[in-house]
Amino acid sequence: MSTAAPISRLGWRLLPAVVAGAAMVIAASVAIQALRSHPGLVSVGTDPAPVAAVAGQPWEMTVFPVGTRGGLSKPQRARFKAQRTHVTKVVRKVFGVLTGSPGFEVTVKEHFSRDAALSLMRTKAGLPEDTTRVDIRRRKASIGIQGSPPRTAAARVKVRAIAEVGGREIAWSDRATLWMEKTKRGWVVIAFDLKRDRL
Amino acid sequence: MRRAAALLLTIATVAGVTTLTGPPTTAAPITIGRLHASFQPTDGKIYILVIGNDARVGNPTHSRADAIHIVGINTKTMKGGILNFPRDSWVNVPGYGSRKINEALYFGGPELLARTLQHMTGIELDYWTMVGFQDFVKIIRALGGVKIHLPSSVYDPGGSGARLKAGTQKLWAQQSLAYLRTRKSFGGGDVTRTTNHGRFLLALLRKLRGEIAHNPSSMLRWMTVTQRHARYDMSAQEMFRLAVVASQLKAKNISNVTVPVSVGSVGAASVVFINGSAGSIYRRFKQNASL
Repeated sequence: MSTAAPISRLGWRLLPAVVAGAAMVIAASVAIQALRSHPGLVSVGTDPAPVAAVAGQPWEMTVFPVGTRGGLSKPQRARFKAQRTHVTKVVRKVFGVLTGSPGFEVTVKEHFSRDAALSLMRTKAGLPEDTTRVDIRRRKASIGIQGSPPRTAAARVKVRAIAEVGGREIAWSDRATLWMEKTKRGWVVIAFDLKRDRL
Repeated sequence: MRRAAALLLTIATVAGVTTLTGPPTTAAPITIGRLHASFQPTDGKIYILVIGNDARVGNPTHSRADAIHIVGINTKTMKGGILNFPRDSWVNVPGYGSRKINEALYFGGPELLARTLQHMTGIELDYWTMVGFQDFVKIIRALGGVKIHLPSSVYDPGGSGARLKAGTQKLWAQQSLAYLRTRKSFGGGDVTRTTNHGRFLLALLRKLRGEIAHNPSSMLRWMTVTQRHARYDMSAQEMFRLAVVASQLKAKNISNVTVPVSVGSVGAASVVFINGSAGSIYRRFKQNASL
């Protein structure tokens, strides 16, 4: 009894250190695992590599004026038509680069406001470097442009696609809302909401 | 025992290091999840003065303010608050001395009312927006009514004309106006009415969010309706950006608070005096843009 007591005390003295060390390691591991399972939270390179082969169905686009009573007058219709072309071009380009087309960084800088661009660039919204093929199964956009004057627009976009990444086929869908306004440098996305799901 | 403890420590450390440096177990090759970016004002706080005036028809110049609210939005926390002021609040109107707050609109328009509130609360107001009775009816009619929960029935056939049962229901344009005008059928009178105004603003926010979730373009329709029927001091671009921010705000994150008051009189006029405890509410609102 008399010889066992000091050794036992030493063990108890070390135990808190062991427990604390293990707890710290476990906490760090959990945090790292959490970041890995949500890679969108991790800051990554800004310009994803374009994919060699991108094939896809044509866009199904509906563009309509919003907030006009009794239809558009002739000059209003002309203005709406002129802006329709520009707005649809932005939607096509943005979702082009999000699904593997080249020019991610240029497109984001050109067609996003500073804050919105930073948000998108900070996340891994493009495709991984080892993507070899993308097949877009469906892309659909419903775009409303404020009728008079046509300076603001809202787009609801749905895309379904399959990509070959590192030899594996991955199917996903994008559901997004883009809030756009006309500025001196053309139509820009000032805010967005993009939800990407595995299928 | 010492060796055992040391061995245990070594095992724990090695196991931990292995976990930290090991390959990711289930990392998705394509980023999955929700990305979001919204308009951010520079300091993250926006304050808007919302005014309902008592002009029945025509130009609301030289009308009095029946509804006076400061709506605050904190775009960093995505929380906010609606601070309601009873129209009979006895305050200092800059340049006109002590008067009822609703007279500030009569003497100097929305700008003087904004200055009065800024002077009183210390909160810098960024924008104001104002509607009269007819404007309000047209707006609610264009939006197709508003679904709201009424905690108690509202019955004021001789005054506002309101005949509304308690519970969740859709109020059409004239019903909405009657509800917001009613004060005599409430125990708290005008103080309850002004709180109801805040409740109605929250119901509008819920409606906006619901419609945008279904169809984002509906936000542009709301903007057009506002531009057509309300008076305001913001550009179309600012209104669009505010609407984008509003579309991201959950009504449950917006507090609806009426300044604490006590009833009194000045001469023959019946007024309410804002209590000293309102100071802490102002400070909190100024600091956080939420209540």
